[in-house]
Amino acid sequence: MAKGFLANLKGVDAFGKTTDDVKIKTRTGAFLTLVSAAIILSFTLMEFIDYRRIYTDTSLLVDRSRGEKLSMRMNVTFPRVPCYLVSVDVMDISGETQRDITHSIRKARLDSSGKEIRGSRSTSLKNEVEKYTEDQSADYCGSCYGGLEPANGCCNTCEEVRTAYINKGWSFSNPDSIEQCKKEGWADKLKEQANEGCNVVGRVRVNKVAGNIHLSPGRSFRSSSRDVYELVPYLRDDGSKHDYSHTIHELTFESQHPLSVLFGLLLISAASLYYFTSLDDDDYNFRKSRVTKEMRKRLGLDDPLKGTTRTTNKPRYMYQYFLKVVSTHFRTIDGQLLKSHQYSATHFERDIAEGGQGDTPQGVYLQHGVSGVPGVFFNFEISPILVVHTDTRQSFAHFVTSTCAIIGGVLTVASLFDSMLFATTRALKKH
Amino acid sequence: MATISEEDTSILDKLDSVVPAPLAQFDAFPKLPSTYKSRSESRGFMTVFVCILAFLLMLNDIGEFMFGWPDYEFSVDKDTSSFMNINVDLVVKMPCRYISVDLRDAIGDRLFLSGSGLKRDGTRFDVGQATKLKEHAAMLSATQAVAQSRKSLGFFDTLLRRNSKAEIAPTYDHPPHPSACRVYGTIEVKKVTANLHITTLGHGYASREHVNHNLMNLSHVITEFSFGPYFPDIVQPLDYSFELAKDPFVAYQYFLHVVPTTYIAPRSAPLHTHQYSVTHYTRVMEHNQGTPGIFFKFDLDPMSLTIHQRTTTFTQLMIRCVGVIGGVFVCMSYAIRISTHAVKVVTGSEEEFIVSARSSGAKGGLRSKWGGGEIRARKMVQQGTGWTMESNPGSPAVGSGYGSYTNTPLSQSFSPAPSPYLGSPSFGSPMIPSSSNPGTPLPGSSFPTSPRPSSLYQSKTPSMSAGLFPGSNAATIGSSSLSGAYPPSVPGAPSYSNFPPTPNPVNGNGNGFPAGPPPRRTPSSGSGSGKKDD
Repeated sequence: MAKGFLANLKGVDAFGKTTDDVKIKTRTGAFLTLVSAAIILSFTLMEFIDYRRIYTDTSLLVDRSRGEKLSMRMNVTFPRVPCYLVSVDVMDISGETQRDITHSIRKARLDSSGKEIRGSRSTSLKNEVEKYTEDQSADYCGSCYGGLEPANGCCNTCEEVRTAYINKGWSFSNPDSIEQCKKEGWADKLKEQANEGCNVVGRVRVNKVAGNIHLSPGRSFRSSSRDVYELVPYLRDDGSKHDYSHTIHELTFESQHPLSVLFGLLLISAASLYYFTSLDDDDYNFRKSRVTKEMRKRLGLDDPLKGTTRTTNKPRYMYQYFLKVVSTHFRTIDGQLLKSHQYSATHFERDIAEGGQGDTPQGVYLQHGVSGVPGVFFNFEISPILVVHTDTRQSFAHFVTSTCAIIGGVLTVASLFDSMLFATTRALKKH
Repeated sequence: MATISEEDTSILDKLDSVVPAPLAQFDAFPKLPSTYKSRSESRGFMTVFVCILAFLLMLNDIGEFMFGWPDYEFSVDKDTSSFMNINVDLVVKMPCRYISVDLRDAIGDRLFLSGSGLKRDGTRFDVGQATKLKEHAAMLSATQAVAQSRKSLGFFDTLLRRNSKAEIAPTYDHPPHPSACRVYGTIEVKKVTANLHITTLGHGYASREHVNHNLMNLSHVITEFSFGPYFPDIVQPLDYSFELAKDPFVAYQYFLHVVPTTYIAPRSAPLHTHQYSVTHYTRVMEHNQGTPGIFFKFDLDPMSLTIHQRTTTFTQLMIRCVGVIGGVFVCMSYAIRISTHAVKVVTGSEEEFIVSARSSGAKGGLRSKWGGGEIRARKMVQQGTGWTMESNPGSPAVGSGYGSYTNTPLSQSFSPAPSPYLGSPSFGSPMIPSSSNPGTPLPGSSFPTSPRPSSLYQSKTPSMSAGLFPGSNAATIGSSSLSGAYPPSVPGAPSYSNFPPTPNPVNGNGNGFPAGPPPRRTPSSGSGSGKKDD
């Protein structure tokens, strides 16, 4: 026998053992043993399945980000509006407006069946025009026909004359009388492109405040602090019907910290660039954006406007989308934090040709306060709430505890039951 | 008799026959014959207590299975429908021809609800059960909300599972010259920020009429104001509230923020409604300062809330209950074991006294029949892992050693001459061998009992001279131990032939302890011996 320390420990043995010759084994006991073994196995299996399952936890926080700029990435196709009749403008409640954005937007011409016309990437007819003006003599100075002249006083191309007219507040209604346009064959080009469609792809950068982005025909200009839309080319009867039927292939919001843009441009140092880019939305990082996309699909959080198609045959038709943007963070199982945005959308459409009055679907008389412009309007506002989706899983310790509880519990209950059975058998056999 | 036992055991026999005999060795539950278990009343109480405790702990799990707990989920609203309903039912204390009901939304549209959309009936102004706009109603749980939504359904609706669309009840009170106007109905509006307002003619929208300032009274009672499908019994914050105006020019502004909510109660379909929170502001103004009226300005939240009353499944309930019962029993048994071991260590392992109530069988007659029990300290003798009670209440069995076989009372009793017990002169010679080896049974012992096979005992006990008493089975504690007569005084028997009989294996009885190692000799063995015997 072990002496000394271990001998003293013998008294602490909590697991008293029953010697074999004292034990009584019965067949019902064996049956119960097998049944409890089966129950233990099945319960342990269920606990194991629960252990491996991934749960998604949602929590809400207040969005404390500051100084971020929101950019809306979009990809919209207009099958029946040519590219020169689509202009992208932004207005927000801080008063900032961006008119006719061209630097981050690419408009691709589509033919009438929807296929892209190769080689054309411009908003207007500039490519041919530039080629044309190169042939001009050096000191040709075209007249601006009364429009607001640019700095050098010359309007050499049709486009410049048009800009001069718009800045003066006139509509460019009759290109056939303008010399530059006749030379460029502008009217012909209009007719040629009249049957085309347009695919607008790109990114619009806005402040993180309520605002709206609209795609509407014609150039817009400010005249006495009001935005006026030049609609004449759109509404002119050039032989084909335009309308703002559209298909939204993609519409997402991302945010980018301005310092990361700044440091990216200046390339001051790799470390600071790394730090500031980590403040960006992770949709910019293509590896992370893949994880984000997969997680969104699993949670069913895909963008609601993706793939929506609306068609009409009325030229003067206005579509309005009201978007509410919510910042969202995703935290994966391995602790990675991914930042992104979600939005909810409702849409309304209106036939402007109806005039100022109408009826709601219910039959209530309705009066429009705003006259409306044909086009597609995305009105967005930012929510102060930040949503965090966390993927969690039960810990291994929890699984082990549950398994021990199951085994102990089932065995104890079965042994109680068995001893009761045994005592009952004994009692019955005695009589 | 035999037939009865056949019937009684038939079920168990069937159970037995299910399992083939050789499988019996897989029995993992060791069952001891009840002779090896010592039972005490105190531990009986413990068992009952443990059962009650286990049941109380199970109640928590059963409650979780039946009622569950509320689980809140937030997500960005995925509902893309463009329109939603507003249910309005309020009474304004002005005739209907003086008020105009409109809605303006963020798109710029103005809905003329005075003509169509909302019905207007002349009625009497009656505050009724309304109260001043109170603190927001307490939050509804999912079961409450679903129950309230079903309250207005009748018996046949529930039976046939019809979702009856509740309608706002029509006006019952039509006085001939109505002084108040009830505005009620359900309108469909665009899901944008909007402003529903009730203004007076001439003060607000351009109108040909002008209401006399004396007739302007914007007191109102709001019976119902909710968004989404109409459930009259779900209590919303603005329901049953009223405002009384003292001035003619007053603007009541209610700012509402609407959150789409889905209630999911256990075992029922999801209920989609809207909840809103409201703050209000009353402004009294002069004639041309602003527009008097009742304004409900609401906007929608992009987050939608789901209140899900989650319950555990039946298998989880089973797992939990099984774990609880097993755990409680095992813990309690260990606790008892440890505590008794601790007590044994603390008070010394000579003898343990367990207080037990026992009927005093020594006194006969009426006392024994009707007299209650006495509580006395009984000296418990440890036998194996169990306890046997010391047999003779009358015997001053408080000495050392007699209780425990590991001690040497036997050696005392075996000791020759000085012991007063040794009355019998014949004690002499046969004792001699025993004095030297007290443990061995005496050759002269004439007791018929034969030693049981050694396998019956858990631990070796020193052999008491076995041949003392007529064969009697090992007693279990609690049995009335005063049995019979003193054993016959057998010449050559060791000293406790005079000792009270009973089934005290210490004294050596039918169980027949096998010959074992001699007991320890304690130096103090002789001292207490005088008291032991009578």
